[in-house]
Amino acid sequence: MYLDPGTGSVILQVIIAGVLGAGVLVKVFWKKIKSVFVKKEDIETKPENIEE
Amino acid sequence: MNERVAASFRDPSGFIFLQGDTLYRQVNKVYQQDYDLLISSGLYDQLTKHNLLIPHQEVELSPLLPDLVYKILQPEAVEYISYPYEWSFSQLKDAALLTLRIQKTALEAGMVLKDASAYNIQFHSGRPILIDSLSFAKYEEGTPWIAYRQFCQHFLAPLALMSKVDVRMGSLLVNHIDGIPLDLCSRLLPRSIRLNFGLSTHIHMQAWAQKRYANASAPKEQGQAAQKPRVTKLGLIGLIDSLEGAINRLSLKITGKDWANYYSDTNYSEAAFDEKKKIVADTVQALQPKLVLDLGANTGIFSREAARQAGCLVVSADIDPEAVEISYQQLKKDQQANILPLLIDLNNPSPAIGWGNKERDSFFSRRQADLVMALALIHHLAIANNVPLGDIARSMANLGRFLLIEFVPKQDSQVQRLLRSRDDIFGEYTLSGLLEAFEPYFDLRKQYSIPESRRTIILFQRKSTD
Repeated sequence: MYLDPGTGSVILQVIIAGVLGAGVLVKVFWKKIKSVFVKKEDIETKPENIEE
Repeated sequence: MNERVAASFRDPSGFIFLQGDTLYRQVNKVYQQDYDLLISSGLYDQLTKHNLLIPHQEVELSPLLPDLVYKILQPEAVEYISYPYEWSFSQLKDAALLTLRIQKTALEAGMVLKDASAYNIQFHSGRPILIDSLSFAKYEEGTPWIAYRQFCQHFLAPLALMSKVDVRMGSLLVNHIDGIPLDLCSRLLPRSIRLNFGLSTHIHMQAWAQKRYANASAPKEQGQAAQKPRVTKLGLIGLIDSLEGAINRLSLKITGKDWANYYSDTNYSEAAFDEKKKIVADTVQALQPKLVLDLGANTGIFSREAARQAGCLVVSADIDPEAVEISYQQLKKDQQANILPLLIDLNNPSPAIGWGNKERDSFFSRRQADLVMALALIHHLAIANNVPLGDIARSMANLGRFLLIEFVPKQDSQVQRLLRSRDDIFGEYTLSGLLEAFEPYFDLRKQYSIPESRRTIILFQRKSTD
């Protein structure tokens, strides 16, 4: 590596990476939950549409 | 004559050099493993397929420094080089998002960006693209992102300042070639930013950490072996996501005038406007220019007219950051690829900056245009900035071979507005004065009177210098 990453900038990354990484997990988890609901809605609404 | 390009010295992985007019990139042996990984991992194919990285060909060519060489590459040529301080807010934002997208793609392929310089991005066929094929390194699990600080200085700091303080803050990049120092950015941002998690973390906290650890002593020898800083891959992805979010949330409010009416203060009837468009269209059709410089382009109405000519790139330069922003957003919407809007103040154009004043070219030392357009511009130079007509002629002759220039006489209300609060010291400012001043540099080719106005458009051809 030819760039100086900067001591402070590296230390900050170490400090915040845990929180930000957890954020990614939460997001992925949330998306999964959402996708389950979206699918459910699709299934529930379809029969109604047919009836109409 | 082979010559290493003056800006290409920081990274020992390789460098670019010119042979004749063609640009080549030497890959050095020290970079062999990373280069091979870029190709073998499929990352190169993936990035070039999506127009994120400039494609290149490996060529057989005698290297500039044979002792160091691994390979010689010939990258696809970029038509016109521009710099971050000449980009509008959204151009810089798109360049930032491109950098992060590349970093994410690289991570999936087991590599990382080892630098994140805004100068590694150029606009090519209407879109930002990474031009440095040697920016990739093998990703070692647990290592922090080396280019994090550089990314924040080159992209996040100027974007935050342009968005939260004033769009003109982008010009700070001229003075700071390695991006805006984060402590400076931190001091300039308004207090309300403290509630913004992304900016607080990446600007304020990073500036604080830099100051806090500025004098931290280097790790002593083995006895006190320092623990290597560790950032998990998930943490790294979180960091990139967070930067992406912070940048996505930044926007620019157009304050000047309303978008659609940006042209409303011109002095033109519809007939005159159409005639002016027709003159531009006829001129490009007759001259078939490869490169057009539209100076004082505003939101680029006449640039668009010139860009109808196939195979022609129009550099659409204006002093007003909002006009350049509007122009870029419009081009993006229309997917028009052959116009490059740039922020240029002709009364103080981009200087040559960097080591030896040779890293970034001045506006006047870049590629010469085949046609320069200066429509409704001359009064801003001659009257608002007192530039003598002869000096304007000489400068225009340095920019390109043909010149399509509009003369706006004193009776015109736009000129009257400029003279309203000052003495008229501009005796030579007449059409005949202009023709006389331009005569030493140009031959007159055509002269058009614009109907329903007092303005004149003249097509000049530069006198041959040999």
